[in-house]
Amino acid sequence: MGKYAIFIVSALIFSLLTYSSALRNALFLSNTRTVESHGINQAYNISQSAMMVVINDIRSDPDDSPFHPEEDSTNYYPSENGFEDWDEMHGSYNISSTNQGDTLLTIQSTGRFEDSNYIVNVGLTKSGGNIWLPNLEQAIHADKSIDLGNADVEGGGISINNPESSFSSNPQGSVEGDFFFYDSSLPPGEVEDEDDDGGKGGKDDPIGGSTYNMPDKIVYEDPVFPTFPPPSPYPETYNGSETLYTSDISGKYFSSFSTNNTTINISGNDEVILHAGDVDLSGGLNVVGDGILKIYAEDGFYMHNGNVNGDRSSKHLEIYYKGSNDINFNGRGTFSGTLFTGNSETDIDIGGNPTFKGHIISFGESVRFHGSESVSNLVYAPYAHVRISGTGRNPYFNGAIISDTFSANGQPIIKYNPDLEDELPELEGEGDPTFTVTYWN
Amino acid sequence: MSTGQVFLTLASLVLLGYISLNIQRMYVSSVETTVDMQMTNDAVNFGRDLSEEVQSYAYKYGQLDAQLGGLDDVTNSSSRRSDTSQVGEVFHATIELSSETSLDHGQTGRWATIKVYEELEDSLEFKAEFVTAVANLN
Repeated sequence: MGKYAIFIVSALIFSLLTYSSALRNALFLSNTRTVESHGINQAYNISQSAMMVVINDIRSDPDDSPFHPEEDSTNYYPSENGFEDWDEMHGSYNISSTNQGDTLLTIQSTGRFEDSNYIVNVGLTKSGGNIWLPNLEQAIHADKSIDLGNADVEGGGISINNPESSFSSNPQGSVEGDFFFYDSSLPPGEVEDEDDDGGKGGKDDPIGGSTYNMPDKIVYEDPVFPTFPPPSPYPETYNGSETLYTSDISGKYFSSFSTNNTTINISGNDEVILHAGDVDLSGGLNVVGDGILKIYAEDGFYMHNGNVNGDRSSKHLEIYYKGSNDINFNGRGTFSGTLFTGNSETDIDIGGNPTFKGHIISFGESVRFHGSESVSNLVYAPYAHVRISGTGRNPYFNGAIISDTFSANGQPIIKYNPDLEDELPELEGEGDPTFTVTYWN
Repeated sequence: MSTGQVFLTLASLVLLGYISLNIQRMYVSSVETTVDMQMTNDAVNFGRDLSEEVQSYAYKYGQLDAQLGGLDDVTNSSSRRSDTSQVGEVFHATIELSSETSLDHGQTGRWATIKVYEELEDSLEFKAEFVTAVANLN
């Protein structure tokens, strides 16, 4: 009997000791979890804080920032597996950043507090700087004023860096999208439109979307006009109709270069510069091959009603003109390319019935479209009065316009194309690149 | 049952009583500790929420002082942040903001020191502290 009692008591004692041990373990784990929770939260603070420092460091001095690697490479700070002490945060951090195609930076910040780590990932898109990429969020932007007349703006909105009264339109004029203006005397934000009938256009309400007072003016950064090589002291001239190849034009200087349905073959992905004093493409030019022909025109550039690369994509032809003569493209010609005029005295006049498919980038004071032409892509002329006038629903413009002042006569249609960025030539920007946070998790 | 067995049984019973008492004490203590840990966890979570709020001012940096400045006296109800947990415990927190200063790599910003206290019957018990930085990302 006594023997059984001892066994029972022993079993009870064993059970109680086991229970006591389990209780102690549970307490210890609970305590550990609390400490871990605190540690992870401080590690979180360190990783977030380090990420803010990293972003501002990249933005303030991208060329020298240790967090801004070369294209398609990765930087680690302080090393791949090392951690930099941060006394004020009572912990340390590690940063890895990868540059993907020089357009996206993926950054990982790891914060460490005691034994706890926390990782934050951020994506920064890189734009501007070495690659010119203007803000193309509106169908029409003007620094000073927009007189829409009876024009229709389809698929987009308009913006002005001046008060609301800088916009005017006639009864049939309309804007399908929003209207942004800048007035420092008013609070930024949406402006209630008392005449809003929710409709498209109309005498009292040409704006189909909403009206906003912007917090800041929209500032555009000009592309850099390329530096021409010095003209050769032994220039050549060309006036012919045969097919030319890279070796016929590359590295040469032509005092005059006139085409007569001439074909220039740029093979592969080459970029070939045709450097000349006067360039006359009125007789027609065909650019074949997969490369890009860049024409550097020093003194004069003419194309009148020629057929200039008209059957192909605009990406194969870029024309840079720094002379002061005006450029007229009238008649029934076709043009497909980029036309960049770097002289403030150069006006551009496109009229008649041509097809103009490409970008106009102008530092001049006037860009005019008149007639029944069809025009597409970008007009970047921030110092110019851009005028569109015609008859009926012409000209038909498909793209985006950036101007100093804008006016329209007749009833032209201006259709916004938001996909221009992909088609822009690769031009160098003037300022530092901008880095925009695209994700943060 | 022999005398030895009787003594052994009695000793076992005494030991059992002693261990049972200790277990009882330990159980009470564990409940107290668990509750205390829960309080600390709630305080840590409150601190985390405040850290995230401070960091969110990276995109409205100009409003930082107006919204979070002056939260530096835990005894003053108008100079502290408060939060009540699910079980009714009340926490108070202070956010001490530094002046604009160099954070790291020459980048400037503000340090924010967040201290969380639990309100007891007639006193405040310090529960957790966090430090974070906030920089102007606009």
